[in-house]
Amino acid sequence: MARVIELERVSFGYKERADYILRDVSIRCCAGEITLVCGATGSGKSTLLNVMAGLAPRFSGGFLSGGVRVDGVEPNQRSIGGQPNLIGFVNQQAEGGFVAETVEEELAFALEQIGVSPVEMREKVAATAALVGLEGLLGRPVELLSGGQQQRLAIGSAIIAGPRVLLLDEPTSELDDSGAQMLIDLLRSLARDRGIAVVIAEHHLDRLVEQVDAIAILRSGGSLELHDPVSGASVAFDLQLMAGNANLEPNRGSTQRPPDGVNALSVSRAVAGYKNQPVLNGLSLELSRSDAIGIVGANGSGKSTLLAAIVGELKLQSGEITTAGSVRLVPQNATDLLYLESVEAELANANIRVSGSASSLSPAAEMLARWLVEVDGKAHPRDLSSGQQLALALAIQLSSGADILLLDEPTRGLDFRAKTQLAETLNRLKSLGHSLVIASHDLWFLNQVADRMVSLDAPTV
Amino acid sequence: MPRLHPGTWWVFSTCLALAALATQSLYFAAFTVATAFALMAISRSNPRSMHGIRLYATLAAAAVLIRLGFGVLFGSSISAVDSVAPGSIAFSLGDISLQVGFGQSLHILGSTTWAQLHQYTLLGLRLAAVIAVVGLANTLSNPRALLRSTPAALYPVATALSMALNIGPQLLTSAARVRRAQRLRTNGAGRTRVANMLVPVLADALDRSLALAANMQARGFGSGSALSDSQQKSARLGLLSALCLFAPASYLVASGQLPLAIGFLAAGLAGSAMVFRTAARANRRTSLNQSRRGWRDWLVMAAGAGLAASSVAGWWPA
Repeated sequence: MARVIELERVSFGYKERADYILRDVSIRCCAGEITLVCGATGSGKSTLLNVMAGLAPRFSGGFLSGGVRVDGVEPNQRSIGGQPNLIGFVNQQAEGGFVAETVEEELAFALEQIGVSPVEMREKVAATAALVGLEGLLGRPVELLSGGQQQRLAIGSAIIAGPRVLLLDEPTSELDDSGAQMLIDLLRSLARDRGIAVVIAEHHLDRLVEQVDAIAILRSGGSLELHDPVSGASVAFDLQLMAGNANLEPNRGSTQRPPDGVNALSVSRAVAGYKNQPVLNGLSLELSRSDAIGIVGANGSGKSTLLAAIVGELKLQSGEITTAGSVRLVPQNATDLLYLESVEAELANANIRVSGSASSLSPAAEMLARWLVEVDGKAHPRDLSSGQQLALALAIQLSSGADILLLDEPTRGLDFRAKTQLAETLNRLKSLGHSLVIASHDLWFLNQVADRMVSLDAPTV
Repeated sequence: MPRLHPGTWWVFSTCLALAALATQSLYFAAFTVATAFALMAISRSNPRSMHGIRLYATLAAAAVLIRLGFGVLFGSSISAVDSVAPGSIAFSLGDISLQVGFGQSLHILGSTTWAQLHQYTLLGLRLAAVIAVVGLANTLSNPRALLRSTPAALYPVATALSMALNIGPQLLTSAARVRRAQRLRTNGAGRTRVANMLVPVLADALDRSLALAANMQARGFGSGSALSDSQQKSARLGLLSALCLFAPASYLVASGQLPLAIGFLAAGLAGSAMVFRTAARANRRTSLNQSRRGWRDWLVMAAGAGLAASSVAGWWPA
């Protein structure tokens, strides 16, 4: 197979000769193959993709050494714009990256840039829309698409100009299992039928490892190891980057205390949402102390609406929610909660102690202490990894006493090790009498923590 | 509503702003504000922009009220207005003289004449009109659409402009999200301090604007020019110099020297139009929905130009 991407002893960092993010990385990706890049949070997966796409260092700044060749040319030495007919790039947060207002215009954008005639453009837009399953939605505003549709639109827009390479940064992180499978099938067929070299950077490895052709593992320090799928999977498992099939049994720890039946939260026949279009249609649920409930459902099924109603942000149109004790919500973007200039200041402001013996600390503070171990207290909260930011936000919300803790997509951006630690912490909180409501796509994670699940996908009444 | 060229609304809005700034008529100034908001309300492209319209309306109302308030409070000290507007007294609030230590004493409150009230309202409405037309242009033509029809040679200038335009709406969404999060943190108790919101809101809006720019670049934006690097550079330089002419123009409008202001404005417009034409000729970019200017565009732009001309010519009596 033709080698489409060739990286030869590539090093990249933001300071010259110091703090390398990538160090001596060599990798070859072949036409028609899917390569999975994995590594712990912050190990440089996105940076590697940016280097391949020619966005680093031209767009991001920094210092690059070594050879990067995509289909025989060096991406950085071309003109100021990218080359959509050579490299397709799908950014981490698809919804933030749309450049046009409607599906049709979004798909056409790359073709417009390279000067395709309007007639040919219409044909290609229609064909690509059909390929990614968006036919019939051409005129729809992009913000009205579901999460899965947005992700497929991003892929369609990236491949429409016929690139040799498709780079995807965490494409499945916000999709449920069936959405993720659809996406992988699409990528498989793109690789097979069009001979595109596909590179995926991803945390959710379990649903991918068996379906890729090669696995590249980024170690801390920025070095890259190449594996075939079988050995790659076992190394990833050893590095605690994935759960593996052996570990899928619910594991709630030995300190588990059964829900004691004291009622903490009850939602009865709640109707909430927009005026004419309620998102919640008469939902009822009960939660006792030390109980954890997982909320699942497709994007737009009302998970966030339910949490907003419980925390009292959103008025119910009808029905009732009663809570015993204080309620705190950790929102999807945990960083929104943080506003001070340093980690130290945030901790002091919330009266959180992270030093001392493990037993004297609250569970959240203990997890925080573990996650912040390498962090300078003067560091800005924005520079922490996703896991560290979540731990900080969680500790802050718990510091003001949260009998009922609500979490909205807490595993977003977390690697497997961080997810297991979070699950452990939440289980300890449960055993201390906290009640949890967790909205998530991540069934594996919910299995570790939740006592039962509620699906919001049920047909509306 | 038929689609107009994204630039059309910007031309119309600029004309409307000029008309409002040039007029001495209270009713005409009020008319421009009303026109801008009416157009926004009728032809907004998606229901979400209602949020933005409300913000522009609040800002516009605040501009009028603050101008009035300042006028009444400090009016007796502002001799410029006094000389324009002697006449019957509308109301009197006890005159307070403050010795501020610079020789002259500062008069606060005092009496306000009808003519003064008229003048304050007019000045307030002019400010409101400027706010309203910025809102109008932003609501009716997505800044990104405008960006897409800019010649590739002007890419860096266009990107900077579009990011500047985009950052306003982006700040709004970011502010809403951060405010929500901070209410969650305090659980509704206590107020959210503006200073606490500033860092996350700005960081978030910048992050998103940068992500957008990176995405556009990855998809080939800015690569579609057949001009050489040095030609592109001179095109950009030309555009920036032409745009610089707008600065003295706006100062001259505000200080009432209209003929000279119009001269600068015309030179700036002609200059940027010329650069755009040259740069666009070397464009290999195509468009899915050919947004050529049709008769509707010319009609809208003519209406705007007519309003501006009539106002500058003084057809609307004070």
